[in-house]
Amino acid sequence: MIESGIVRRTKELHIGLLASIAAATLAMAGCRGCGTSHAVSRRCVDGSVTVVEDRYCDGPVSTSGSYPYRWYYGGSSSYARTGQSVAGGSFDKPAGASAGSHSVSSGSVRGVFGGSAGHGAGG
Amino acid sequence: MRRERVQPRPNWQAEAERLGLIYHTPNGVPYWDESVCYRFTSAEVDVLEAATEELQQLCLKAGQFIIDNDRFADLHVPPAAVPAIKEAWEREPPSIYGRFDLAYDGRNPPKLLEYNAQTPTALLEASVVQWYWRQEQRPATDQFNSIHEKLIAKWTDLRRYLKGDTLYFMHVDDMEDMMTVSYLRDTAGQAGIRTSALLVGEVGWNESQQCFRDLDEKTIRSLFALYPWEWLLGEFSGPVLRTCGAMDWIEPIWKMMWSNKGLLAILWEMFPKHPNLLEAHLQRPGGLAEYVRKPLLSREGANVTLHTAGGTVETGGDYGEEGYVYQALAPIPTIDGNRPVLGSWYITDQGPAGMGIRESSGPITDNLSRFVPHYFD
Repeated sequence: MIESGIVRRTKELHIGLLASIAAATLAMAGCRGCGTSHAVSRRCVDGSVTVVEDRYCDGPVSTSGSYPYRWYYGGSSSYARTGQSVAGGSFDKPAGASAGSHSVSSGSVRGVFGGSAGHGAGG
Repeated sequence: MRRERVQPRPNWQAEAERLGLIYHTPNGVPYWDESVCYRFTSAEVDVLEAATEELQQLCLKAGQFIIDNDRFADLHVPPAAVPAIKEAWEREPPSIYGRFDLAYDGRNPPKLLEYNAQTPTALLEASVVQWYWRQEQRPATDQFNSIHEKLIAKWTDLRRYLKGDTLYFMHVDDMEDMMTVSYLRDTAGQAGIRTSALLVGEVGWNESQQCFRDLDEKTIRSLFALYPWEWLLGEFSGPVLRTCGAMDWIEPIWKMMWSNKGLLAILWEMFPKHPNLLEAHLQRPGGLAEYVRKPLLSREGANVTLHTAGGTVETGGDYGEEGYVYQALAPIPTIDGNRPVLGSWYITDQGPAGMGIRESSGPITDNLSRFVPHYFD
């Protein structure tokens, strides 16, 4: 190692959390909307893929007949607000993903942030 | 400063993925490019390190100047945000990092292109991936890179001041942003801070309690947002501003003064002909015959116009309504048809920490620019 005033690194970097999240994300490759390593977001939508209140999907779910409300997983559902259309996700829950906990829950309003993000927010 | 061709490691994709860079080839186009690298001398790195520290000091003076002279309108900062910015500037809430983008040719002083002080990415590749590349490919050499250690040191200093027992990291549903946040969480965790990640849409607002909540309805008291302040304020201004003093927002709201490209004109106004600055003006080219026009708030090279005697080049995007800064053309070297821009990292209170290089085939660095490693000897 060259002696200088710049480098102060003498041992291996530890990146345990990062490595485990990377491995988990790769293992879930193909899962749209895998924004976190733990779960995929979902929102209740109507027949025009517009977000409605979760209570419409909390009852017995039917995908046929006149009942149009279904869970929509991933894509822009993580930040869409009620009344907004969602896209980029799926009506099928991604394999291996947990879902349900990301919907609007009692007490707090979700989706107050996110409307400005077309893709990444970093630069 | 030289560009060298290198034989990529046969397993470089797997190695990059192991280190978290799972977006090394987005849409089939290489982003991490280890078929080339940049070689620096120790003296050149000293110049870059000194310039980074100097620019940080200039920005500190510029922040005070903006406040003292009420220049917020020039930066298109919403008036409602100004009191919170002033309060945070005085209170000095937690701040972690920033990345100066520099033009440098190894001979002339580095020139500031812009300062991404709020939501800089390309962090993981600069801190971790290129370090492991150097260990394998240039083991007898060195690298301008102590980002990892300085991040952990910064989090360690910060830990005792955080308002919450958990530091939440908020990001959009994007692979690069998610991994950037995961890396920052990793370093914070190594400093003993409990962390949790949230997508931006998962952050809840509890109206009756006037606080932000996580998915388990726990109150969020410390929040790192990889999400620009102008977006936070544009989407939910009132509650965000009301909670500025009651919770940790990292980066702090005063970073709106630094992450705004109008800062470049303010700096030139304050320090004309400074060797690390390019001439820049707000809303007009001034006397510049050739210039780059940049929206005050754009990112990843969006809506940038390059105006030269040879013609005009313009990138697309959705920015520009907020106004523009006009900056003199930077002396970015063209090496084998490629133009490197150096991203020099500054960790708050820790100093210059390292650099990453983005290389473009075209004249404007954008989100397709390749990250190439470096070393020095």
